[in-house]
Amino acid sequence: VREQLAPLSGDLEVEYWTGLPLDEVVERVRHLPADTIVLPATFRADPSGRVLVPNEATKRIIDASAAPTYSVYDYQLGRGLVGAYTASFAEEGRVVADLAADVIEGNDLGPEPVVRTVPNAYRVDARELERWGFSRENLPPDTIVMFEEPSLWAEHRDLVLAALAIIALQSALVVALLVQRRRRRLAEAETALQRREVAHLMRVSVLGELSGAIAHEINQPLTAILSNAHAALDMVPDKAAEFAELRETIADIIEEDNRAAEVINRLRNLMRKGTRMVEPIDVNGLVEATAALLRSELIARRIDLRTDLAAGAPIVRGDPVQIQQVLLNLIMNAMDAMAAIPAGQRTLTVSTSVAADGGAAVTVSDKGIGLQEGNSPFDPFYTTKEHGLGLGLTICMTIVEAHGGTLTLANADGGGATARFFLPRAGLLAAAE
Amino acid sequence: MSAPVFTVFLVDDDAGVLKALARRLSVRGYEVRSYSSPEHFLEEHDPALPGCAVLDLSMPGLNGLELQAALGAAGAQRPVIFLTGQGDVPTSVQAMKAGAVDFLTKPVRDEALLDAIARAEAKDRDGRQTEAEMAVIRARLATLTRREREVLDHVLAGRLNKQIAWELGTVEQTIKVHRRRVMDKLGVHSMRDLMQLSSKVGLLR
Repeated sequence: VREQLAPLSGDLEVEYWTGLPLDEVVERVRHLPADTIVLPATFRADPSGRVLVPNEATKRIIDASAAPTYSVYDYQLGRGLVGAYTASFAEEGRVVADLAADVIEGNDLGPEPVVRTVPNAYRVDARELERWGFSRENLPPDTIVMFEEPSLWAEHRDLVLAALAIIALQSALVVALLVQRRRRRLAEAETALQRREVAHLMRVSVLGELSGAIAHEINQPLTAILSNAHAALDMVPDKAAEFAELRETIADIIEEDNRAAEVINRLRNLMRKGTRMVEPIDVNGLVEATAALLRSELIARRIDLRTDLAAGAPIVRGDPVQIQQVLLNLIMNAMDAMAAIPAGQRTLTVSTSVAADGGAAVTVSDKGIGLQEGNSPFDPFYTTKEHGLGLGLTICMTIVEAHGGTLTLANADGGGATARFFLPRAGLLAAAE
Repeated sequence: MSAPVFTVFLVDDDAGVLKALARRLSVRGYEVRSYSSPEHFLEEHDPALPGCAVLDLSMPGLNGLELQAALGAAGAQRPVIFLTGQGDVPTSVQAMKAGAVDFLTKPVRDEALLDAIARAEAKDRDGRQTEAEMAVIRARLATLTRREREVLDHVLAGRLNKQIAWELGTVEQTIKVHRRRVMDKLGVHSMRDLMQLSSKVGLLR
């Protein structure tokens, strides 16, 4: 061993442990640093004279070692040795047996002395390589790798394929179920939203149905207030100067009462169901009434509503309630379109003019987000509003057309949208609802 | 010393409205009687009192129109003014056809209410005057003898004395005497007055 290792002594530090008791050796290898290797030679006896079985002694060293162990004998391979550069004892046995067989059979072995050799080879234990984390790429060429554990793939190919297929199928199923569940959740959420919408719509329509009764309920106290105020006014001495302020106060009560009654009246007219009427409509008056109806809503939404009314006071014929519905819808749309822009810029303009044919033109302009490309805003159920039904403009169009007019909607040059409708002087009322 | 007191009968199920209207009309010098239920009003109603009824259109139990009909059925010529919180055209037409003085929407404007009551007052006064005149005429008619009444009917039918005499189997001179007595009893001096009076009580068709 010393001879063999001598050429390497420059690169390697070699320590020879001889004449030590086996227990001592075992104890020492246990604490070896990681950058060492152990090359156990043959133990036949302790210095104490105890006879050892070499195989078992080596095994103890291998098992205890903190560093990888190598050997010059192959028989230890498979018992914890990383590798050996050696001929195989089994191979040598086979060669000798062949020779003996040749002799026994009387084969001519030639005149020369018969020497048959078994070449040395690098042999490594695949499991130990794995255990110590050695890469196979660093092995010398022609190294015989032993104790290769057959891979699962090689051993149970069909089973593995089947198992993989099942796993794949199950994964696909899980994914499909997850997707389905997500879809269902979305659908449920949408359904719930729609249900809320419908419920809200129902409440609104019930409110509409009840508007007459509600107007009645509010008109009762208004009646009482008005009559009391008039009675009070009659009780106050007419000419006495000290009662001037009291008379004024009562007069204000009467005026405010009338104003409240006017609001109720407008609301009731708007909510009124029933037969369409054809009567002269003062378009300017309708714009003013609608603006008055929306006054608090406009203030709440910080919108500045400006009206630019035609001097000629255009008069058309039609159903004032329906035309007001169109106006209300267009103004509400314009208000919604400006929800996202800064409060100071929310300007809404309603202007009226006398059209060339003597009819009326009404324009509702906003400074909002404008119309979106794609669908026509007049398509039924098309909406860009979160809680919209998509019916407002469709109904407006139907009403305006029933009055023989036209309704157009376009983006304005300076941003925002402009809705414009014309009503002819002599409104034609077709049968349309 | 003064004109007979004109009473306004108020019927409204809303206590606040009832009280306020009563106060308003009292201040204007009207005698006011308030009823919160139409049934109560019908029970206590005295057609002999000059006045008008101001009825709320929608009340539990009898509504205004039904109350108007019930008054008519009871033979009362009471002028009626309707008040409503929700005036619709068909109902107002129905009310006016049934003889209402006016149909006013709540909250009723003061001038409108007072004006309607003034018209109701006039209507009631005229009605009562006519009624009184008719009572006088009916009393006078009741004093005619059977033969005199027969002659009157023939005269109103436009027949000449000669024809009437022939119809009744007597002579023209007798018919002339009957006619004079009829004119005296009815207090008229000309044929024209007789026709007018007869028309008032529905004798003339």
